[in-house]
Amino acid sequence: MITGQPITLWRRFLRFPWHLLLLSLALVTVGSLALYSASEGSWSPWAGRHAVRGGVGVVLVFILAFIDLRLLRKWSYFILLAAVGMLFVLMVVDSGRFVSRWITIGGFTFQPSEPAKIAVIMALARYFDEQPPERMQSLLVYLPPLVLITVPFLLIIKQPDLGTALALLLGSLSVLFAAGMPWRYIFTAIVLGLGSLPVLWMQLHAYQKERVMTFLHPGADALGAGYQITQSKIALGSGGLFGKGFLMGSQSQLNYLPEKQTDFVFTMIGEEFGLVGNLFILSVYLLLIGSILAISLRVGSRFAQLTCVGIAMMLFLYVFVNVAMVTGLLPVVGAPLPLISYGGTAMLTVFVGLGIVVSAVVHDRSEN
Amino acid sequence: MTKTEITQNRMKQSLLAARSLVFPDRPDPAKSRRIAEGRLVASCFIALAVFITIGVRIVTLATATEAASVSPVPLAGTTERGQILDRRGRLMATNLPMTVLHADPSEIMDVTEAALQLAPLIAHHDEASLTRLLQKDARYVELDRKLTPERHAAILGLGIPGINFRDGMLRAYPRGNAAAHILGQVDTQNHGIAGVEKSMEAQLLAGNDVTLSIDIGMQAILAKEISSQINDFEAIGGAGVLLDIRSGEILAMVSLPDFNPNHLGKISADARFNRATKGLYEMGSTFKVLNTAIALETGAVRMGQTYDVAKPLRVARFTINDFHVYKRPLNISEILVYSSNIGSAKMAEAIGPQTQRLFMEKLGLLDHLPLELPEIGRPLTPRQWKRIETMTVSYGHGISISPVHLASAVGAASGDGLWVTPTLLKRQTGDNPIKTRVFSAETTRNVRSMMRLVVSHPDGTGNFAEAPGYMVGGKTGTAEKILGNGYDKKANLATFVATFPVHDPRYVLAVMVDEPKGQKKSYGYATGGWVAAPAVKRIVEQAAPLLGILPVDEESPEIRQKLRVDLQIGEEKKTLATF
Repeated sequence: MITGQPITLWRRFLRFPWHLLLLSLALVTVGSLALYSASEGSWSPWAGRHAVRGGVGVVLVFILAFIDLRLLRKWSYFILLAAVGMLFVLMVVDSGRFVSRWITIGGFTFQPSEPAKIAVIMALARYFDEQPPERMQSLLVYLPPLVLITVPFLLIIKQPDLGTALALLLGSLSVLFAAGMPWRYIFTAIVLGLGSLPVLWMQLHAYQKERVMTFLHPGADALGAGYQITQSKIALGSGGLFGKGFLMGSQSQLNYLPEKQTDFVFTMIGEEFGLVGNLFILSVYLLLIGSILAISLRVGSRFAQLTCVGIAMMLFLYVFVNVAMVTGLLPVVGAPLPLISYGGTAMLTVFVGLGIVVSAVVHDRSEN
Repeated sequence: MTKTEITQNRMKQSLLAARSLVFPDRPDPAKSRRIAEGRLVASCFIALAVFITIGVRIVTLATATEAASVSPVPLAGTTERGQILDRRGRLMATNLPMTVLHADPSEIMDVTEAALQLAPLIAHHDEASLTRLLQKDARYVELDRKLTPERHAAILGLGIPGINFRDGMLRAYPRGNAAAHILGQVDTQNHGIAGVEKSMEAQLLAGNDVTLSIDIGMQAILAKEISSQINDFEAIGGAGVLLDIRSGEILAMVSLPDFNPNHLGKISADARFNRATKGLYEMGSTFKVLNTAIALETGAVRMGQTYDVAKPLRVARFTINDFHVYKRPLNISEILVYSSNIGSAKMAEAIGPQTQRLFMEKLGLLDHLPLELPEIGRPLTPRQWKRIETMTVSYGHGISISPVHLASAVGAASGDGLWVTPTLLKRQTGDNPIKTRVFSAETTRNVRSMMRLVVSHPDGTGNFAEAPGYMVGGKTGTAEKILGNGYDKKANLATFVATFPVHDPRYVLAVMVDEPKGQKKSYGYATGGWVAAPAVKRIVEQAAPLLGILPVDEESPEIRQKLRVDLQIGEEKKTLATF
């Protein structure tokens, strides 16, 4: 249904998926409120910057909306190369003594692992865009994606940042899945994956193993390794149906809850706004992710479609991993809650992702 | 098709296949799309399912009961050791959170520098000893167990790597030396190693408080007065017991010299030794109270009966002498008041060995007491209990007991005739202490009346114990201490055992001073009457008001009718002649 008709700026404006922007701004607002409470009712150090970053993110979405997705498609391999390059630079120059996840450019610290995820998704989308469906049956066709995924994955896991690495891996796999990887490969991969768990276990750092053990027996060391998750559950439980009220959460206000501004922000919201608050956030995420998936069903270009799936699933994975973690369904792996947790790079990455989705809609040619 | 054509065709096909790997054909958009749409819907369902799972989890957590939560406040999984309180609930042993300073010598970079900086901040180490510790080939050395917050901050400020801190719990005895022997001590791991800390370990470990029968006020009075006598008479030690004879509760029990349980180590064995419970002594003439009571109770001797005490008593190769020689026969009241060994021995002869032994057993003097202390002594008793042993036991020789033994036995003989198991724990309402009847009320009334005369009669040996109005009755004792196989003429044990108030007996106070030396003011005497009796007077004067005992007029009819006032002391003619 390619019409060939030139798309005017006005028509593009009309197509603009405003609901995506609204939903993400709602999340940023909730995040700012939560961070305001986390610093005992103060805009500094977190809430103010969080709100400003949200504004920057919106501007970024608008800028990306003007960039034709085909341009991104064209540059996708190069972008991935640049991202992997940055990860490589990180390995060589240490920014911290023990954990090197950050790059400092002109006073701005920046986590290259974040854009790397989007770069991998776009590169995979482009790759599978070029593969005819028959070819998807051949195993050979999965060799290049394997390299595309493995190199950044290993670089990120070395940092070490298990959470981001897993998000990258699962986001990439969702692209493979959507691209039409045969079920038999999928099942084989699942079996192989489960089989390699013991090997993977041995590769984990001691603290990572401890987290998994803590997950399996959270009560065993409730004041040591299991402290975070125990406190988190207490906070969620004490919130009840409607919460203790804004700025009234004892677990978070009295600093029982560690990392409340980043990974455990969901818990804090649960304590202060209760079950209702948490379910509200979850439904906003569900709407946002559902909208992106709906867009991916609608857009004409396969590249756009696969990119949107990858972005939606990555967003979904973050929400899932984070919420599952703070509710004790998953081990503590350190994944932020998109747009709510404090953290600049992660937030801007989400906006970049949203910008790409918006661009996919705005520049879609299948629409009549 | 020729063979070559077929080969060419195959080659072409494989070439195409190889080429398509690098330059893929234009995919069929419609087919790809169909597959992708199916997969997308699948993804949507997976995401939805996961969201529902999480939603359910959150609902479960939010509606979870409070009981499932763990309180963050208590410290690392241990219950705090129970406290020890006195009978009025005042703290005697408690716990203080403290910082333990320790070091990992392998992490110390400059030992000399570290020792130099730390030395002024650590109580029990100097530079040299610190250097030695920090050079040790170990990963852990303890530098200070009781770091004050101020010093903690100062050491933190030094920023020496390898110097670490740990939270510790310090067992603290806020009253210092008071009741040290009763409380005992704990080791560095806070396990009881002596005293109640050890004997009540199970209860304390479980976090339960222990309430003692001790009254800190009484304890302080006893300690002060007995140590004052020890100083005045250059004695090596002393002991005192204040017993409530109705409940068996020990209200105060001191052993001197004592120690500060807050300081582990650096305590001499002598200071640690509990003279009141573990020390076994021949109590001397104080036993005459028991002898008189037994004689009266068994009917072996009647009131008013007299004995000839003019000549030393020879039994086998032993000779029993008196301090003074009385030419005339003495009645049994006089035998007690003048403290005649000869008279007592003759009374004991009338009682007989078997009966005497039986009474000693009933009075708890042949076995260790069931006290709540690990440090208790088992009396040394005559191996064979024949005529001569019976005679020496009557005036407190040939049998060694602890001061607590003495107090509880005299409690039975001068109280209401019941022997009550002594205890260091406060009796709770509903407790029924085991009471054994040993003497009749009539016997103890006679004994009490005689004990009163020891103190009140001008010729009594215990005049210095008189605390006016408080009706103190008692008996002195001056025993030579055993030295090898014989007795040491110079080493005395001066004792006084008192019952007060004698008209309504409630308390027994035993005071013992170990090896007092005769002083100028005592005309060279170091007897129970000179050394122990004054302490009893001062203790009763301070303790009685606190115990709720009001001074009475001894001449008032109510008091007189409670005691026997017809006891004859001294020759009537002689008394008249003084007029």
